[in-house]
Amino acid sequence: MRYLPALALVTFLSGCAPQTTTVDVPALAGMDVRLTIMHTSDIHSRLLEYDFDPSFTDNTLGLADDYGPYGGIAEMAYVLKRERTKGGRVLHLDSGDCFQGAIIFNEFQGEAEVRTLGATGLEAAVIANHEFDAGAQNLADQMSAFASYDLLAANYDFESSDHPWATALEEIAIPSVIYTLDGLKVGVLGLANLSSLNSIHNEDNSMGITVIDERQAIRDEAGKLTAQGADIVVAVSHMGLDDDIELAEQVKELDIIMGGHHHVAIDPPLVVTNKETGKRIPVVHSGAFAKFVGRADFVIRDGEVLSHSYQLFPIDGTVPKDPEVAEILEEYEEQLNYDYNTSQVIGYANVILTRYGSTGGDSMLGNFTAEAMRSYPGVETEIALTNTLGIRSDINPGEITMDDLFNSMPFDNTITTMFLSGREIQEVLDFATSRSTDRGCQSQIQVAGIRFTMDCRNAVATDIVVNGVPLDPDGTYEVATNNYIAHGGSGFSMLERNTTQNDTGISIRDVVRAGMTNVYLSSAEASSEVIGLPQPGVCEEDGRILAVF
Amino acid sequence: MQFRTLIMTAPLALSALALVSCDGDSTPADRVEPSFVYVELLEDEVGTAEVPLPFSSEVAELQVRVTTLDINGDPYTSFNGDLTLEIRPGDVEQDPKVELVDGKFEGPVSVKNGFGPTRVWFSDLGDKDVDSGRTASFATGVSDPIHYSLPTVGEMNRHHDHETNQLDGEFAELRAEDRDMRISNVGANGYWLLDLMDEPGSHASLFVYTFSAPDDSVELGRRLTLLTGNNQEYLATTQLSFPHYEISDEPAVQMPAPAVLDWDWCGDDDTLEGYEGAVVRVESAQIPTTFVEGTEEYEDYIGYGQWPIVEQDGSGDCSFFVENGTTVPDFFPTDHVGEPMDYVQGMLTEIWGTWILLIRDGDDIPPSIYSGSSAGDNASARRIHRPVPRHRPASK
Repeated sequence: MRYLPALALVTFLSGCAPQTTTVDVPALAGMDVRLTIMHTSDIHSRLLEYDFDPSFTDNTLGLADDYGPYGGIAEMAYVLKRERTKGGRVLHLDSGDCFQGAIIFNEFQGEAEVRTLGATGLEAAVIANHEFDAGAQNLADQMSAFASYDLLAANYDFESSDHPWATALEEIAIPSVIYTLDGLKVGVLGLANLSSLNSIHNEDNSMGITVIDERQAIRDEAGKLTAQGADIVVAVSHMGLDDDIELAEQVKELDIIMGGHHHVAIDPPLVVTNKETGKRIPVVHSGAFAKFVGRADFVIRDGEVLSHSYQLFPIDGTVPKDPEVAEILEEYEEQLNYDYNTSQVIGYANVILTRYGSTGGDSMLGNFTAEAMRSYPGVETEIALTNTLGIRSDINPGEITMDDLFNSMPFDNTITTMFLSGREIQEVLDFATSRSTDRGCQSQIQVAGIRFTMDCRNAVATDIVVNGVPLDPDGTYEVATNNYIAHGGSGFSMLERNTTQNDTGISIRDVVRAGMTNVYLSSAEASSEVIGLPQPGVCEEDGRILAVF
Repeated sequence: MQFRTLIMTAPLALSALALVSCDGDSTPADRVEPSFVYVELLEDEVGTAEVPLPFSSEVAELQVRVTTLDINGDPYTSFNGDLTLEIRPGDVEQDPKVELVDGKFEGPVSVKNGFGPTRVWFSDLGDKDVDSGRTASFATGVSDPIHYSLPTVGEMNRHHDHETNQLDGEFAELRAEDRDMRISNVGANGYWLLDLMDEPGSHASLFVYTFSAPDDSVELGRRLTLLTGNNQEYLATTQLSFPHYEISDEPAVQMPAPAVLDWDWCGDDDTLEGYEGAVVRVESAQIPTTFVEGTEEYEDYIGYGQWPIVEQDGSGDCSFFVENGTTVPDFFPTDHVGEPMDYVQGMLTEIWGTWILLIRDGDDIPPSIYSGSSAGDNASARRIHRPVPRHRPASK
């Protein structure tokens, strides 16, 4: 027998009543202890269930076809609460980006997300990039008013900022925390996102965030947690998978990483061996859009994670709703229906409308969006160009509702027009090709009025043709794009410097909605039956971006 | 900031403790025993990290002794019920519910496919008879590790069913340090490898899906010294997703010539499985004269980009398929129906029993029918649609 521990009698100060309670807490030295971490990430406002076509990978992970609707925070809460009853020492950690991605966020600015996440029993979440989508003040307001869980960020410091929200966020966003679970002290630190928050890196730093080097932040916080008796140190991260792997490999202080940002569910989790200590660090990612809830079980002995197991629970139409969370959601749903008529049909699709091109180049929804932007009254440019990731989901066959449109195009982006020279067009497309090369030769832009070959082997754009005429390097072209990349988002810094920019204030989502509505109405009127999208040449891939490797 | 951390963390920790004693969920007021499980391996040979036991996909019996313990760490002999057996990593090959009498079990457990440091788990997750009335304590114990060797690519891939492999769905760590595992081709979103220490056709090839274009260190003929990732049968082809790898500084070697597939193997899934992921060559082929508009094969070509080849002068009743979509987009098989092809080469991949050669570049198509011109507007205009349903990280 490894050892026989002495019983520890621990007296706690009770926080709920003026009394002292004495409970038996096991002494854990030398013993095997099971810790369960429930994990969610990148919920992206999918609080209400929705329909989509699961991919092969979704199927492999347990999300079956024809079991929709999928997602929903009330359904997640059901699974989270059920699994809590199937564990002894249980924590729920969320890896961020609960904001942005559905109409409920556009309307309530995160209030519904914060309230319902809290009602699932969540202990802590890390700050992620989309938490700032309605501004830092909004994040401070929503968390101050509604959060019942800890918000973590060890690598952000708001203290030195003179922005009005800094004081609130400095109080709310704590670097780390210890949870004591039947004698097991679990230290948790937050690693907030850096790579996708352009405002941090811009000169104005409009979020007021001073970035702390994440390795130093981990060392500092882990040291404090350990000094305070933490048995293990868990990072809840929104750094992204590559950074998580690198940190696991190179920073010796971490025992477990619960990550997000890249929207991937990895079942089973990766295991990365730390170069210095030889420790095997589980790196857990549990997907996005409320499609899954992850459950990771760890066996810990004397501060060492000995082994782990993992389950991924699909959130589909077979999962009941948790009544407490469903009741909270009801009031928001009623308001949404009143304000937006979310079930209003705005178009019709007879095939799935995809956001990615089947060959890596142009896509159905990309072409539709870019064409709609270019031809919209008051815009009317030669070329349109928008980022592929601004379109967040496919649209299923059948009736297209307002809800579907918001799920696919959640960002409140507007159309910006500008004049670019032929050389600048070449520069933009070369950059887009290079960026696409880094993403498996999957085009990161969608275009109208232009055709080109995306040569991923050499990371250059070739054979560029504008409205049937080869690109003239000395020519001038009027281009419509979205205000996100016009401001340098996703690395398009060559657009940011353009001084001819004109933000039209026209919502891209409204433009797409108008396009869909027009097609629906004209088709219906013409044939007295619903034919709708896609019309030939309107919502189809046509090879305008040819991906070649 | 540093000072603030000390202040903030301590009250929160206290607050968590207060909550514990307040609602009692973290330190249970009504403790359920056993509090702990102690697992002992009774095997003489458990290997070491330096000298591990061989990897085996055969079922093995391990002798174990399991004891339940109470909150004091003393044997909890009142326990009569089932614990749940697991092995990490690996597979349990018996009823996972193991009965303990008076808090003890001693005997064999059947497992397989352990690799690296492998531990046997026993957890109190409730009895097999869910109506037994006993409440689970969730106490869990694991054995000290048994050290198994990591599997080679061939050991991992070899399986009686060509649509799966030994570690399907597992996080796989492959034996690389003492092998000669070389990169055999680099693609837009991954690379292929071949273990040169194994014979051709012995399951020694694999696709590694990197999502992004592989980094500059991934070059033809370079040697891998570390490779881990999630093992997945993607449409029946084995791939490692989310890979982590290291590549030796030693110079690249000349890779062997493509393995020639015998036409007699066409339709023999088990034999072809041995070449899955390898560079292969099919000789004396032609595009069948039946490959014309209106046929199912033609529709598949339009939809998925794959086109058939049959044996020259053969019966034509068995086809391999070829795909050139993103690598040689200006080659159109419809222009060469019925023409003899001395050879076709490419990476062999399977989609549910259909065997496809993925063309690497123009040299994989004989010069008699392809001159090697670059893609242009004409190619763009005739682009076909081919779904590539891979999972993709998507963050803005």
